[in-house]
Amino acid sequence: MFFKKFENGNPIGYLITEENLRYVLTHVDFDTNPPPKFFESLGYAVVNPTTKPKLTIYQTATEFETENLDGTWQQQWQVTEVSSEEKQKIFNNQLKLVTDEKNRLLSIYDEQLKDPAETPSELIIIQKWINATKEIDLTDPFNVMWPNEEMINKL
Amino acid sequence: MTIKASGSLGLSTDIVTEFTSDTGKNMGSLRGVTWYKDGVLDTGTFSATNLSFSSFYSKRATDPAGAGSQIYNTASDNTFIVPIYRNNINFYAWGGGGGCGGPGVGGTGGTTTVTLPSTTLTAVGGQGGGGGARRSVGPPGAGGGQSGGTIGENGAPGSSAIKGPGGNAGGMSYGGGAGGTNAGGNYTGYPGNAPGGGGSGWFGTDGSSDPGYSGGGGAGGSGFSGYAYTAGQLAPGTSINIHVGDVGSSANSGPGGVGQVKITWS
Repeated sequence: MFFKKFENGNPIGYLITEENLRYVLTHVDFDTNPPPKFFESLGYAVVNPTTKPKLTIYQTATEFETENLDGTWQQQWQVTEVSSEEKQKIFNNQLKLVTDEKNRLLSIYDEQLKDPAETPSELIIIQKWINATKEIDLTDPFNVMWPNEEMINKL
Repeated sequence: MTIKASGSLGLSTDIVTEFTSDTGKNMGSLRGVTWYKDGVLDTGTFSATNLSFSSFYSKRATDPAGAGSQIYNTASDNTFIVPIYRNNINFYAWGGGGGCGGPGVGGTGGTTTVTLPSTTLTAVGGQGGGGGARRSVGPPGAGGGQSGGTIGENGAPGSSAIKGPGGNAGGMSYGGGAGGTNAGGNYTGYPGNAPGGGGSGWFGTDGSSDPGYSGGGGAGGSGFSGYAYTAGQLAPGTSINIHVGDVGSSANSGPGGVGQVKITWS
């Protein structure tokens, strides 16, 4: 059983655990299953929680409740898309992150190419890493396939 | 249950039931016994000389301000209602640990906040480990910071060694999580311990004696922030909003430890 603060006829705030409320309402015998209206008289609504929907990176969710026939309240979720400006900002931040990472990898391989200790066969492998890194597709910066050994060995 | 505030009382049905399980007791045996009241810190002992039925009105045998604790350890928003407490109440917050790097960067752990009347505790998640490259370990993730508490400690950074451990969360002596340790598996990251430990370093190899790929760095542990109130400083019934930060993700099975808020009182 979960609760919320009950003010002006509506649940407000976030969920409160039963464990917490047992410590607060020390005069209430929870094991006798008092009705929801009893808790409302004490300033708390009985809320049936629901699973928060899985959100995309461009969505936010807001909680609200609707009252059930038995006097409990049903937790609901309002999913909202962020504004196009905010969406662009989120995209750009992630694109910068993966672009910086791609450039960091290329600079490592550039240094390795200049290393006189590398053998001709190793230089060929390094060039494969460079080519694979340059070809990384950043169209969706949240779902990037980074090169790995398996990919390089197949080249 | 607390004895009613007025009206007739039965010795065996009301008074003895609350104050002792021994139904053979008489009222006189309750002289000097400690009593409490609901919702307040008032306490005392029954009179040794002048005891009547009305002496038991609104009294209870157990302390409503007894010790307790509450833990929030899933990424979520919650409201905590301050219970009546007698001595102190303590709030401890950890963010989520960073995720291990591998091919690509590990995710940064989420920030945990506790909004107290006098301050906001903020425990920042650990940074994810950096992506590895051929013969090059990814940079370690930085530990998360913290603010707002009377006690606090930043998370430790992850290791930059091959298969190195993730960073420990701040506040290890208060129960913070250790960074994940790589038990030796290739192409495997190991998760950080809750709360807030960073994921371990990751290592890829094709099995040759000259490994081609050195994997991602260890992720950072989360920050830790805590605050202690003494008797009377925080009013019972106060609503405290709590946001628990999520783990830093990892594409390589080495996520960070989840964030946590722990509240204890006595």
